[in-house]
Amino acid sequence: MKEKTLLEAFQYVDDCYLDEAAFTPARQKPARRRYRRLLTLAAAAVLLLALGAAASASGRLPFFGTLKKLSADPAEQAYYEKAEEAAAGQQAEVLSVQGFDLSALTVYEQYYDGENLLLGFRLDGAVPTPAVGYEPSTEQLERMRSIPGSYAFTYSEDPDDSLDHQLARFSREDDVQYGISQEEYDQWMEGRSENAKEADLRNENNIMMDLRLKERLSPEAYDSFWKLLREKGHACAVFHSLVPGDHVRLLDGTELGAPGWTDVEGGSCLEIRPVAETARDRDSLDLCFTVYGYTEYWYMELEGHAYILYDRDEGTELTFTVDRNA
Amino acid sequence: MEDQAILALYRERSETALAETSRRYGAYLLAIASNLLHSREDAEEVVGDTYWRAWNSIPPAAPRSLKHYLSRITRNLALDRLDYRSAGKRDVEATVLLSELEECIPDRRGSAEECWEAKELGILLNRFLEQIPREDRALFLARYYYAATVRQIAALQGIPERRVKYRLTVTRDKLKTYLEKEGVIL
Repeated sequence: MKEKTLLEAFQYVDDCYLDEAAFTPARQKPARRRYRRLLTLAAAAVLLLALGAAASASGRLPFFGTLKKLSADPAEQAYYEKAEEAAAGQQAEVLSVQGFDLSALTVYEQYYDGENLLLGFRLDGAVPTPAVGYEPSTEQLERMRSIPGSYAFTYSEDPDDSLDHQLARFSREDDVQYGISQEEYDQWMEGRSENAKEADLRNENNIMMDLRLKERLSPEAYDSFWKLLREKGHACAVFHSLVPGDHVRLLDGTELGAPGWTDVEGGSCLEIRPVAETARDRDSLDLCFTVYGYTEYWYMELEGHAYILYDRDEGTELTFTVDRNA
Repeated sequence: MEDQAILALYRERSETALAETSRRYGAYLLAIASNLLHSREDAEEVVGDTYWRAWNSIPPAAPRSLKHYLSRITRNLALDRLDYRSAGKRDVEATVLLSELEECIPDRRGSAEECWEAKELGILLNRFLEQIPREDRALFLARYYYAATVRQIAALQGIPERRVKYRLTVTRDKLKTYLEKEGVIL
């Protein structure tokens, strides 16, 4: 049919035009930010003490110096050393974030040589401490369950994430493995927490969530979680965090380019190498980026599955100036 | 997780490639399939098949845009399913979509051998899209690539439905004139 041929022809349309098209799905799960490590105020205070000790020993905080240590390429190491020297003696610049009370982004090291931009910073926030006992709304539960087989940590077309099922479907061909071997099964079962063993948790995502919660929650909160799980058959822990957005731009809206992020002890490093052409060879850059408040709902059913739902707020824009220092 | 990281998972043959693909694009692909098929069950199957096809084709495929690579697979599978499902009677929405595109078909007729293939037509379509205003291009693709309804497009763009309909009509007329000038036979 002629019109069908025309409809099929649309598959050859250039990507750039598809990007422009006025279409977004009604609901979309927000992107997960596993690689961001963020601090509550209490943990930040402990870290400040540790960083202070490191700073007084070395004369500076370990941002660009860490990048140098992590790099195996001598040319890269030389580059980071140059950045480290240029940033020596810089005063930390504190920017307030309105998203949560008393939140701040502190820029410790900055480097701009007319072509490349490096920043070493830390995000501290008086984010609410994790809470246990939250009851997700019907709408939230629907969102969690909206894609069959999509659970807290895994997705599979097969919605059965039990270890027994994974063992039953074990196969290995041409270096591709499906399911889990007997040895892996035994390790999983043995590696469960005492609570998980007592409740005989066998779903992969439930077991993993339990272990992660044990790390993230205080002992009292973790016990409360299990008390609720046994009493009600389900429980939910809520975590809050602040996350810097991916897009770094100038005040006039110019995108600087795709950033590279590296988590270092005590904070993060951002690199844009090189920056967009229109941002090169300037005396300074007036930067703008957004910090988002994320809420994570960790929900587990004793007899069912485990889910994580992410919500993100509108974000707060931060601006500051980086002077050219090389 | 960013596209490049997900593509690396495919190359490493890591099963988490599919989990991450689903997280990043699952809702998007489901919406495309749903727009064409109007059946949650069929749409979910098509999306599942999309992941399977992506797994079997990457590598060696190395798409620059994973998003559009996946959306093309989903769209094609949905169109195939539409054919299979409707052989005889047609889904109402799909009928409307195709009847709108019928208006773009040049009047010229030719033999079966002379008819243009979809790929050749696609090249011309890109040239045509380059010439029209950005707003019209976006509306046109929202309607005929993503199969969004006029109502959805109006809501997303924040413009009245009648404006969407009008701009689509104008663009269809322009496409027909363009295809006739290029000597297209379908």
